[in-house]
Amino acid sequence: MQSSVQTTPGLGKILMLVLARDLRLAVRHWDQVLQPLIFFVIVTTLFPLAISPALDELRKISPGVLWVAAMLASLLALESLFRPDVEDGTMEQWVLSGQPLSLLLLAKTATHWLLTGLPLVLMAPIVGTALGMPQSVWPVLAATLALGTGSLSVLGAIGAALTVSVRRGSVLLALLVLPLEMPVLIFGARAVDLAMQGEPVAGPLNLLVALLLFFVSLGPFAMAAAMRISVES
Amino acid sequence: MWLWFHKLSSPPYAYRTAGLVRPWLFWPAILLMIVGAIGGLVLAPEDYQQKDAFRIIYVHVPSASLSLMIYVVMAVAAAVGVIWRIKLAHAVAAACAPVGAWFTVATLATGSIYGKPMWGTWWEWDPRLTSELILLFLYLGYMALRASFDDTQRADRASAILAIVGVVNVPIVKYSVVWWNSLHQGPSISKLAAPSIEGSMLWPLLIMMLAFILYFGAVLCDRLRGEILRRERNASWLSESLARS
Amino acid sequence: MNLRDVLDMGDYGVYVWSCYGLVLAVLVLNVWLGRRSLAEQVLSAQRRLKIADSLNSESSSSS
Repeated sequence: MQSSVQTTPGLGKILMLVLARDLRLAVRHWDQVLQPLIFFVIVTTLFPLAISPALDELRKISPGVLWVAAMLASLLALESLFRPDVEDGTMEQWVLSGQPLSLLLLAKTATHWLLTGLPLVLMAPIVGTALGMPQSVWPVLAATLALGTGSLSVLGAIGAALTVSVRRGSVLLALLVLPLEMPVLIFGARAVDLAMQGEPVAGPLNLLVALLLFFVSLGPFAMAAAMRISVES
Repeated sequence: MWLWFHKLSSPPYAYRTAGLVRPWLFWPAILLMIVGAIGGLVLAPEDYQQKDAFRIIYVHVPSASLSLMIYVVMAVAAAVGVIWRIKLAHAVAAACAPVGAWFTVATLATGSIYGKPMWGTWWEWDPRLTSELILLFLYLGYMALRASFDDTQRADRASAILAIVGVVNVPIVKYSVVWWNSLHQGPSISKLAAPSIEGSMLWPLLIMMLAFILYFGAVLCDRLRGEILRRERNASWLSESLARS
Repeated sequence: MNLRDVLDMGDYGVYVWSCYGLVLAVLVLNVWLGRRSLAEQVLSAQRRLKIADSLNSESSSSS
């Protein structure tokens, strides 16, 4: 009798399974998914309190404030990217499985972005309005954050893979990842600022696209190499 | 020649060679520094615009160049260590880090002091100082990651990945910082540009650069030997070498 | 160029000399740190060898 059942599913199927599994887990722990987003709003609120309630003054710094808050929120969210899987042994299975680890980790990172980066993109215009940001800037804001948070997720994932086995490694993660993310911050925040001044934004926007493509294509290899080191005992 | 290179990657040989080479790097470096300092402080004519303050470049510029150069050396060594699995390369990378970080600190401090009489402020967010600051963060992150692993091998390989990611990002950082700065200054006045340099001002700078490079080589020899010892746990060559030294 | 000129550096003396002094301090520090780290490692390696030796001689004398 001929069996046409494949014993191991193809790579595409596996990536889909990874995506589905992470989404399912996220739905089950939706409160954990929410926390970085709440953090984003709280951090943004700190600035009017610290500086001034005057919308005129806040408007000037609003792109920077939103971007820094997004960076910090994405940093916090990285805690839940790899750690649970490493702790329960799933990651070890993945490393040993013989499947391309870089693609598996990229899939996880992409799902993570859907759960943390994308909501930030959607929330930013509302929070930005609270800081006096004009509606006309929303498209640029959304575009830069969408592209930027993608890069932040990839860079963050590399840092997370490096520090996942380090005890209390969250501050170390921030120290490693934030300097690498500075170019993304520069192009993203300044692009929104330029938009507010009515200047063309094609330059920084293209650079954000280039950075995202660059990081997405090379980042997973660094992630996989780092994960292998972290997971081996 | 290739055979010598292969020999060099063996720890006992490298240990011995570094020990022998060190004085040949160190003393010429000191000599060149004295010559360069005298040249820069006394012999070079004063600058038209910046007067005598420009003499700071003779220590600021070599520090800056070395801080970047060492990072690249560190990253290349780390990459060699990870790709070809040469323990010695990892030892080189580990040895580079603290020295490079200190040069970055020196660059920032001298840059800041240079700025006070030139711009009137102790700090300016100009491209060169800002990217030097980010470079310091990269160094500190590298050293912090190393320190967080107890096992030297894992520390080596993890920090190697970070160094490679870092060095790839250095041009990106530099470009982004220059762009960021250009948005604010209309005419590009490079704030920390060395004054237009002519021959009689240039030679002390070149001498100081060479001096700093030789100095780095000497310090690297010491640190490298320490790193080699740390990695060679119970190798038999140790007892002979240590008895001799 | 007399000594006074060299020290004053045309009113910029404080800046120039503090820079040179600072860099000199960093250079001296790094030599010292490099030497010290080597010495520490030599000591630590010697200690390890001593322990290994004593363990070896124990096992060989008891065998």
